[in-house]
Amino acid sequence: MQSHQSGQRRRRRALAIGLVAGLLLAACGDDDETSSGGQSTDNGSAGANAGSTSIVIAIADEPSTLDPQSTEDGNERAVTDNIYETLVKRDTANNEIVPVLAEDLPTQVDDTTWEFKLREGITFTNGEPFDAEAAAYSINRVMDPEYSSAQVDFYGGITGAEAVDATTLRVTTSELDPVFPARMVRLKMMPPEATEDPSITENPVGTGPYKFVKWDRGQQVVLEANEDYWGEAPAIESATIRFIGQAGTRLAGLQSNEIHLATLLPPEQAEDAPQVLTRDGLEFPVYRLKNYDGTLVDPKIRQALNYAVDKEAIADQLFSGYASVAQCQTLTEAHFGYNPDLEAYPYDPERAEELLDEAGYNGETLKLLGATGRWLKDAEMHEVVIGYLNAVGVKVEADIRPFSSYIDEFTKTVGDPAQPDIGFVSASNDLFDASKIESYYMSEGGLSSYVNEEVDAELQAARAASDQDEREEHFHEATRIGCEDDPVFIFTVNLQDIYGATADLAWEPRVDGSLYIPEMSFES
Amino acid sequence: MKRFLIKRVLVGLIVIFLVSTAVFLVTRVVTDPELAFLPIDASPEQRIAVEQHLGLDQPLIAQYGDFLGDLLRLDLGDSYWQPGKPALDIVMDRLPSTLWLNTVAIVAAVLIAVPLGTIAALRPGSWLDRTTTTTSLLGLSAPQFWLGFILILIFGVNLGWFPTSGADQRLSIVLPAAALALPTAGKIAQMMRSTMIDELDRPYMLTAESKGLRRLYRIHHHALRNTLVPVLTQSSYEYARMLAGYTVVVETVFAWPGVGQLTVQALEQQDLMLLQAIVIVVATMVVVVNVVTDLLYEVIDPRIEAA
Repeated sequence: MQSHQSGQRRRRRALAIGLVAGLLLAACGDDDETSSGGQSTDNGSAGANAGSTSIVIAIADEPSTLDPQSTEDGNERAVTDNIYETLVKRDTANNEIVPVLAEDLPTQVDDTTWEFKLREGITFTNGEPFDAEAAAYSINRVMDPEYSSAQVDFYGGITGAEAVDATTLRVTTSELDPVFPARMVRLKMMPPEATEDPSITENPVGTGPYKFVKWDRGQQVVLEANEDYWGEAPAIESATIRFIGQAGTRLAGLQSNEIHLATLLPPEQAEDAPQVLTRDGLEFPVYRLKNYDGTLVDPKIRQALNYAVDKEAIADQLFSGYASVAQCQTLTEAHFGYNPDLEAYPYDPERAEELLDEAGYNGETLKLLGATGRWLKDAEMHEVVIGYLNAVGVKVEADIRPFSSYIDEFTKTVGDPAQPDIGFVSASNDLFDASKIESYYMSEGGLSSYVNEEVDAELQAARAASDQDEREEHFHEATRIGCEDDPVFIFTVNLQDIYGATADLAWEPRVDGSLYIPEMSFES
Repeated sequence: MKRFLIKRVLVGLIVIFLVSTAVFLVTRVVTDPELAFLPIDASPEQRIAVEQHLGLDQPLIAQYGDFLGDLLRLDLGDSYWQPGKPALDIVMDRLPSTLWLNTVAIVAAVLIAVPLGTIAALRPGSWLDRTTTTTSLLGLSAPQFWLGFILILIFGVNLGWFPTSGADQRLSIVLPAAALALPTAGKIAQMMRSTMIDELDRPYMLTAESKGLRRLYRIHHHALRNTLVPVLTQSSYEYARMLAGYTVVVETVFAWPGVGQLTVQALEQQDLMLLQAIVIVVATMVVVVNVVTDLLYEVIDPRIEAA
């Protein structure tokens, strides 16, 4: 009996030691040093990739196609931004428009005609020449109603393009469009012959710094440097873009040095990456307010709602500091038309209660429509904001739905009795021009629940003005009214784009979120 | 035998038909698939145009008729997410990866579980039994999602023995297969243990022992054979559960390019056609697994008559 018992005790101790050893093994990885990965034997944080000419980038989803003109798909752009080029693009440093395949920025021939002078001597990687014919073909293809590109909205009222001679291109618009140059930063130039073949969706052919090698479905796209590239040869010769859906898995890949750059890391996990790179992004979570009917007609109440919400707390705590307070507009300094005179409403619940009193708010219930599972921390944001509103005595009836059912309700326009008092949305402006606020600020805007004649007039005037300074003034006035006098939204924050990288990757994230590999390199 | 095979195949076809109908109803009634094609501020006219384009404005019964006709011609429609590509082609492209992963996992699970369960059965109630039982229970209780991340953390990041994700290296299969295999091994080991205990208790085993046959020989030559039928039953059931369920989670965690990952992509993209194709293909796979299992019974144990 005795030996059996001591035997048992011995075994229990052995088991305990085994468990502890196992936990220690698991805990080992929680310090900041990265350990050796599956392939390399070096420690990634000590410059293991120095001077390397190949990079592995992990994005969150697979592209639906590699035809750069058909969809609005950031994952497709992650690949095609490196293969195809546009006539003009945005400069990384200050977001200005600079020429690429064009020699210079376009000139306006008349109200509805623009002219580009194109660079000479450029060919697509399949040998086709890049000239005005190819450019006209590309523009006409994307605007062709038969082709039904999802990007058509972005390009506004372009009616057609034609080659005047080999290096001169003319583009016509339906009406005066001062935003035209900004629109052209997305329109990629394609080779006419190769594009007629349907396999162009899987076999991209461009003029850019990289060539397409292969697409392993469900796994990755592989690119290699274009030896005949007309511009500066990129430092990195080979790029693999992998699709890894789980953020935790992307992070693990960074830590093991299998991946050098990962997109869309959640705020809470960002610290665990060897290096975190951020940039003020495009997303502005906002709550759209119905000002023409119902309880919120009085602007004082809407001002109160803005005072009631602690935006800094949202930025610091909900988004772990990876957000900045929105300055009472859905624009950043990178956007044309940004109003530098506007400031965010400070967090002042007492002022909010005062205003509610003055307005005679009597506890009426506001209907709030929100989405869940669509945008980063959307469900949590609703809880937080409704909490702040409740704290100053505002009653809210929340209707939170999955995206597909939310969008039906949200897209009901001005005048529809079913429009909610408050509607959540994540406003993003990739045109980088304030004209995009029309969707929310104009009574005829497709996503608007706001009617204000002065704002309508200002935005109409901005449309008709060809002088950029004049446009800017109109935008400034429109956003000022929509902030101070007659609030359009409950403004909250501007989210940052969060990227994880190995410690030795040198890259500055772009404002437009484009993963442009020539701007990446490994430093020692 | 032939009659049996024909009967099983017919039953299988009926199952596939019923599954297809269910998928058809659920996807058309529950979602608004046209939304996947439209920008956020699309006008009602645009919505109607897309609905017409997709044939969603037809009465449900007409849509169903079209659906059945296409199904018979193995035309499961074009994907919404990847316009112009037949949904069935996309699924069949990914199927080999999933089959490979799950087959490796089930083989590994059986290879772990059979010895584990046998050892536990040899001395029920002993220290050895309790350890192996605890291990099996730990294995089968672990959710694949969590297990996947733990494996990535320990063996991928800390030890660096295996890739943390993807399928492009020889060793890439190890961690995802382990995430699938370990919980399954736990279940099969438990079942193996109880079956083996029963088997060892049988009178013929006592006879074999009194004939002087050695322990290992007795187990290997006699007992094991008879436990194969329940093991096969459970393994086949677990294999089907992997294919139709767990593989979705594991493939997503490991970014393994199979049908499971495709399912999540199709859901995110609200690709109705692709989801339909996936469900029908997976249902077909499960039916095939069941038919093959039934045939294997005949092979292992001639006493089982395929009625």
